[in-house]
Amino acid sequence: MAIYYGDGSNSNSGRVIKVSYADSSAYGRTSISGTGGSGESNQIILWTALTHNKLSATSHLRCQMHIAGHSKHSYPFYGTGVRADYSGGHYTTFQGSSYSIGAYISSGSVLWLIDYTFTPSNLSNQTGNIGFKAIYRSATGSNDKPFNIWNPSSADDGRGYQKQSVCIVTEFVPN
Amino acid sequence: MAIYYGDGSNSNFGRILGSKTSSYSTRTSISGHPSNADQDLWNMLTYNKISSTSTLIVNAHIAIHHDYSYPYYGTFCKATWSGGGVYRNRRGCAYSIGKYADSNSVIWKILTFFTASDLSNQTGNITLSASYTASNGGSGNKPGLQWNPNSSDDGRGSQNGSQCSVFEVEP
Repeated sequence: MAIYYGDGSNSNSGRVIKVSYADSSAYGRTSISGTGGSGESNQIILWTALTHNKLSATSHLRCQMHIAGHSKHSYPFYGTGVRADYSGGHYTTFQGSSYSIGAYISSGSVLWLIDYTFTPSNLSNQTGNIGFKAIYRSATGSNDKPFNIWNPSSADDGRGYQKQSVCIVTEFVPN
Repeated sequence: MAIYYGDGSNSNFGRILGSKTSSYSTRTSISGHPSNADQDLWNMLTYNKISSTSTLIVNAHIAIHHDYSYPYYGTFCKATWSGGGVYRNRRGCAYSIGKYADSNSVIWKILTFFTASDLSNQTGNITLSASYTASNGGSGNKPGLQWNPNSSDDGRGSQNGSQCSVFEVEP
């Protein structure tokens, strides 16, 4: 039974029920691999960012990632995405995921942003542990990747500091 | 004592305790940072943190015109609090200059979090700033020339602005 508040909202819907977050501090500056072939079997998992323990079968999960890269490689390359793993399955999407290489120079910074909301049906109405991963795959099997260096540091530009990437997952029950 | 809801959540954890947003939309020339010191582009907002165990999640979108330092990994989101406390958060903070042409647009995005530990378990006023400096003791670096561009920078445009939002969550 819901609690009904004076502003018209209630305790059952239209609210955030859990937030999970993580950074990439376990990885540091990393040279990343290109896709060795085509399709899902050859996709690269850049980052297993976090596991969110989903409370509700009817909630949505908004996944946001801010991924810091250095040194362009493939451009344009629309093969980046986000994957959610649940018990007995997974859901991968290339929506809400893209990166900008900025200046067309080898030593430039690359910013990869993800903002995608997983619906209950995307996740087969599962609750429990949902793992979130930043992935990329090639449709042609060429050696593709969004950048050469993940989490750049002063090794890439002497003025800089160690950068880290961030993932935030917000579980909410829509109205 | 917590209220336990039918969906498995409860009133003590996994919820938003408070939030605040701010914006700024005045075209402003950007200064380079001094040697071995921070330059605060924008004191985005001051948030009155309720809980000593909560986390602050920060989103910001900062509009800039005209490339300058590139690549430059010296930007960060800074939290300061009374008594001289400071935490320089370099995760989830970077900008993209777009095409390498002087009269381009630059987008600085912040998506980050401050744990209770980052903030020394403080409650009360926490000021969040978009800042930059250099690790090599140099000076004069900056992410661009003009903050919040307008038709002075491109005659077709309108006044752009920057925005910040913070959510306090109990993990």
